[in-house]
This record gives sequence, structure tokens and C-alpha cells, in this order.
Amino acid sequence: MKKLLALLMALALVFSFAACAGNEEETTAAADETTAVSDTTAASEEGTSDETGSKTIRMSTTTSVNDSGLLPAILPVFEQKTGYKVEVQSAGTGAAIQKAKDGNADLILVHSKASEEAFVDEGYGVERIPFMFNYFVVVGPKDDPAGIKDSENAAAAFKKISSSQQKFISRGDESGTHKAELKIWGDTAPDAANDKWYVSAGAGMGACLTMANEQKAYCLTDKATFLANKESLPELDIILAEGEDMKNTYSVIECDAEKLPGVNTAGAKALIDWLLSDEADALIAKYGEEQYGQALFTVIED
Amino acid sequence: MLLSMDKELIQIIGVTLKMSFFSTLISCLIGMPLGVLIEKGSFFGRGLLKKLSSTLMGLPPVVAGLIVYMLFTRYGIFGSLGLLFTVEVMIVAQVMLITPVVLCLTSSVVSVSGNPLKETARGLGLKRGRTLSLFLIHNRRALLSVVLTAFGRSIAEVGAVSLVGGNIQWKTRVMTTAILLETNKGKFTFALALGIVLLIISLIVNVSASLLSKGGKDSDKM
Amino acid sequence: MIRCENTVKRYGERTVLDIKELTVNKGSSVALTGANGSGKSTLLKIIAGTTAFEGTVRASGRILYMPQKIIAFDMSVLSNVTFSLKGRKSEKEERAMAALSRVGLKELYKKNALTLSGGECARLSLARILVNDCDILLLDEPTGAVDIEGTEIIENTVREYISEKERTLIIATHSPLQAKRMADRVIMLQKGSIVEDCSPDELLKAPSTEFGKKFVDMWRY
Repeated sequence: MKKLLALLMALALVFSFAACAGNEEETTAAADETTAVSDTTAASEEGTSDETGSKTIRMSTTTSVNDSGLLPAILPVFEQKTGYKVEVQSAGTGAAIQKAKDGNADLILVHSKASEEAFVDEGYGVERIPFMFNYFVVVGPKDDPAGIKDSENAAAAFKKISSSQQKFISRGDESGTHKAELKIWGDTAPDAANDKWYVSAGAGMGACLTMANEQKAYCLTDKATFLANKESLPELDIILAEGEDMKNTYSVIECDAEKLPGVNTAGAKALIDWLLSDEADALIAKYGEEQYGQALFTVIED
Repeated sequence: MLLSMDKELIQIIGVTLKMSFFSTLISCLIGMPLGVLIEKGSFFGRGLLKKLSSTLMGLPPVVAGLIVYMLFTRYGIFGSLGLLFTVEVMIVAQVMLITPVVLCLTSSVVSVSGNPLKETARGLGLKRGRTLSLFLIHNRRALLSVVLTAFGRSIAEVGAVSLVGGNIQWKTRVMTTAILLETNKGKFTFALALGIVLLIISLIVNVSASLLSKGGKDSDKM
Repeated sequence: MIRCENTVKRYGERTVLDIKELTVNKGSSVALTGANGSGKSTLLKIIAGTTAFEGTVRASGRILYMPQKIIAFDMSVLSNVTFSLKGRKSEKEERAMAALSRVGLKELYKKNALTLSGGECARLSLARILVNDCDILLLDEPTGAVDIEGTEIIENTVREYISEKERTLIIATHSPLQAKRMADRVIMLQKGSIVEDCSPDELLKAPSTEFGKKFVDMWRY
């Protein structure tokens, strides 16, 4: 069985290499076209694909950022000011990073320090720039059956959930949130195969919260997604917020054009510069106050 | 990764086969008799049922999943059963999706060969039961392909089962939702390997089914 | 004996068959003829009891009926013939083989019936029917798609079969020659009604309708 699967992996690898090779050719070809087009302005009307290099910025981000509604709220300001068009693709952190590695993004906005550092170390990213943070929260049934309300931090709360065997929904999808959760568990991470109370859902944040609501379970979530969905989660409340081990830092990374030909370096730089500007800082710091009565993100000052 | 996945992979394949087998079985038990009835019988609402089933064939899986979800959610009609996020409720959603397909395909098998065959059987003086078994034997290949189509739909479905099953590790995770998860993790290669495993399972099921269906030694000489 | 009284078949507004009175005596052979759509098949179906109708039809004894559309069952030639039989397997197969050898299909008994040609199919269908006992035999254009040799085999087999005991035969046909060979009485239908009912020789002498004249003309060649 193992051998068979290994063989299949190899087969799949061959497929994906073939696909990648194809992609790379396409992207370089597209880049060539762009340079050619910039000389002859008349040709720019011909095809929309020509614009990929110039006026479109591809941002790969995690679902939690996208679900919070932050980007749709602030990006139009940038677009209006600069004339760039930002295409936001959202997926789990793993997939978001993988897409960038495959040359399908100009910059990434994610929240998983270890994966981000690996991305830069492997040469895909130029520099990791942490620019805002918020706190993960532990949500759970309103009556808090595991009694974690007054825990000192998330690790202590998790120990109580574990010892009382209360249901806990884990993302289980290697997303930034999942990795943060595993870091909090540390060595005491439960085993989904044997610990029936620990449910590894393998799903996005929204789906996990719905499941927690359905099964009256605890769940680690970013505050923004929880507040955005609160109306449909009547069984759940924030039980524990703002422990020192629950900080959730978001970074932007420009993709390295040397490693990934076709990256719109100018666009990525412009967007990152703007995200770090005072104007964007003010917008981010204010975001959420109107809708949820509290700010969802805190800007990191330089 | 392969080491740790090995035991889990077998478990996932097990859940997948269990879900596909039972949903195919149940939808054939419902859909095939109804498919015959809809073509041969005369009862009130027959035309409506026929239209309804061909409409339901185009039902997006996610919508079927959503309906089943609403029925089995904590606040739903069957919420007290506590079946949400179990294999059983995945089967319910699948049955809802596949039964119209089985019904329509069966009724088209009947409409093609049903009448002349029935006439011939009656002409031979065969009784009802004997006529039915003649229909089943004569159309076994077409009916088998109905079953295999149903099975194929079931094993390849992802939208409805991830919604009502929840893709829970060691419990409701099936091949398709595992593939989706690996894709979301960015492990595209591994996801593709799982996809090939899924294809191989389908191939094995198809080949063994067609071997089973070969009636006589020379029946394949067409 | 078969007796029809005021037998009517309608499809919605359209009347496809309307027979005031018809009696077929036990042991007689009747050729049923008429243009396409004149009601031949419908009459046979009504007597066989495979379609609904208005009026009364009485038929005494066991009826066997071979529809116009011939279907080979998706199974071996031998199983096709044994399918309608009851009893021990060896006994059924013995009877089936006898029936198959009568229509010249003995060698093909192992083959799947779907692989047979059109003519072989018609002979198989006949063997499948005639392996059973009956009092009334209804055949709907049994040689419609069969070559001369096959037609001869089928006609001989049927004649042999009905002469085994006092069996009644109704055979629908477009061929005046076949009517003469197989029957002692010809019934001609036109638009669902009986327009001629006489012996083959009488029809030859005095056809009373346009179609009858054409039919007889064909006969003369």
C-alpha cells in the first residue's frame, strides 16, 4: 500500500511538473508580450491578458482575512488612488502560499510566521513585513461547561477542555489558525483518531464555527470571522480573549520576481507601501468599529 | 507523511466505499421500482413525478446538501436525532441526489425495451413475476450501468457530503473531501495522488461489476 | 373458438378497430390481411389480451402470440427457448433442443441470441413460442423480415405444429401467397373494419374492394 501510494505520488509529481513547466512558459511569454506592448500603445486594446503585468495586482491571502471583510473595505481607496486593480484570491494559508510558489500571485498576505519565514528562506519572497495583528479568541457554549472563562491563557484553557473532554473543533487544515492552535497545544496535542472529543474538521473557519455551534463545542477562531458570523451562531460566545499566546500577526510578502518570473513587482511594491502608509493604517485601525462596535485589527507601528 | 496517512487512507477509503455503497443501494431500491412504475403504471401525479425527477437530476449537489443540512441541523425537523456530521446523513444527502438519476435512467431503459418485451412475454404466457425477471435479465447490462452511474456520482460527489458530513477526520472524511482539504493545504501533489487512488477505486468497481454481469461465456461476442 | 362482438379500439378520438362480429372456429386457419394501419396487429393484440378495448372477445383455450416486433432475449439461444418452460432442467433443455432443431438453429444453441441475424431471430422467436402447447396461435407477420428459405422453414414448422392437434391459427400477412399456403380463410381489414371474409379462392374470383383488387392482382403474378 505504502509503495503503491509512493508510486502514485511520483506519478502525480510528474504530472504537476509538466503542468508547472507549461505554466512557466506561459507566464514568461505573457511578460514578453507586456514589454512589447508598452512600446506600441495601440496594441493595448487588443487583449485583456496584456494588462496582467501592468495594472493588475494578484494578491493571495487566507480565507480569514477575506472573510473579515477588511480588504473589500480598504482596497478600493488604493485602487482609486493608483489606478491598479487588485485581484484577491483567498484560500487556506497552505494553499495561499502554494499558489504564490506556483507563480500565480504578486504578493501574499497571511498569518503563519513559520510558513512565511520558509517562503522567504526558499527565495520565493523578498521580505516578511508584519504590519497588523489581532487576537485569536476561544469561543464555546455560553454556559462554558469546561470552565475556562478565567484561564490565564489559551494553553491553560485548552488543558481544561482536554481534561474535561469537552468537544473541541479543530480546523485541521494546516491553515494559519490551525497552526496557531497546534502551537498552543504544544506537546499535549490530542490525537483525533482516539480522542473522540477532539474533532478535526478539515474545513474553513466559517464551517468550523457552524459545526461548533451545531455540536456545542469549543473552537479557536480569529475574532473577525466570529464577529462577522455571530448572528448565525446563537449557541456560542467568546469565552476567552486576549491571552498572550493568542496573538495573531499578519504579514505581507512581495513575491520574488527573480525566482518567479512574471511577478508584477512594481504593483506589489506599490500595494505594500500603501498598506504601510498612514492612510491605510488609519483605515485598518478604524475597520470594524462601525459594524461590530470594536476594531478588529491593530496596526503595528514601525 | 505517507506513513501517517497510510492507516488513515485505508480508513478514508472505507468510509468512502461504505457511503457510496449504501447510497447507491438505497437509491436503486427506491429509484428502480419507481422508474418502472413511472413508465408502466398509471397513477395520479405520474406525469408530475416524471417532470420532477428529471428536474431534480439537475439539482446542484450543494443545494441538496443544504436541504439535508437544514433538516438535520440542531433547529431542524430531525435535529433531535443528532445525525448531522455523520456518515448516515451523508448517505441521506446522496440518496436525495442520486435517486432522481436512477429513476430517470431506469425509466428510459423501460421505455426503450419495456413495451415490446412485455408484449413478447405476455404472448408466451409468462406470469408477472416471470416477466419482471425476464426484464431484469434482458436489461441487466443497461441496469448495471444505471447502478454504476449512481455509484460513480456518489463516490465523486463533494459539495453535499462536505456540507452535511463536515469532513471530520477519522469519521466522515471521504476521498473527495480529503482531496479538497489537501488542495486547500496547498499539497497539490498529494491531492493529485489521492485523486488517482479514487480513480483506481472506481476502475476496480467498474471492472468487477462488468465481470459479474457477463452472463454466458460468449455473451460478449457482439 | 374465438368470438368478437362489437369490438372497438380507440386511441383518443381515433378509432383504429371496429368489428361488429367475428367468429373463428376451432381448428381453422385464418390469414389476416390489409394495408398498414388497417388494424391487423390491433386485432391480434386484443385477442391475445395485451391491450385494452371496448366490447367483448371470448377465446377458449391457451393462447400463444408472437408480436410483429421480434425481440431476442439477451441470453443464450437455448435459454431463450427454455425461459417459458417449467420443470426439470434436463427435460426443458431436451424440448428446447427439439424445437431449435425444427427451425434449424440447433448448432447455435450456445450463442447469445443478440448475435443472431434478423432471419435467425424470427426462427428463434418461433421456436420459443412453439415449444409450448396451445389451443390458439396468433402470429403477426412472422416472416416480415425473413428470406425465402427462412420463410419456408417457418411456414412448414407452423403447419406441422397446428396439425399436431386441433389448433386454431390466425396469421397476419401481406403476402397473398402465404395466405393461400397457410390458411383456409382470408379476412381483409380496411380502416379497422372487415371488408372481405371468404376462402382464399373466393377472394381470387370476386374481390369487392379496391384494396382487394390490388391484393388479388399481386396474387396473379
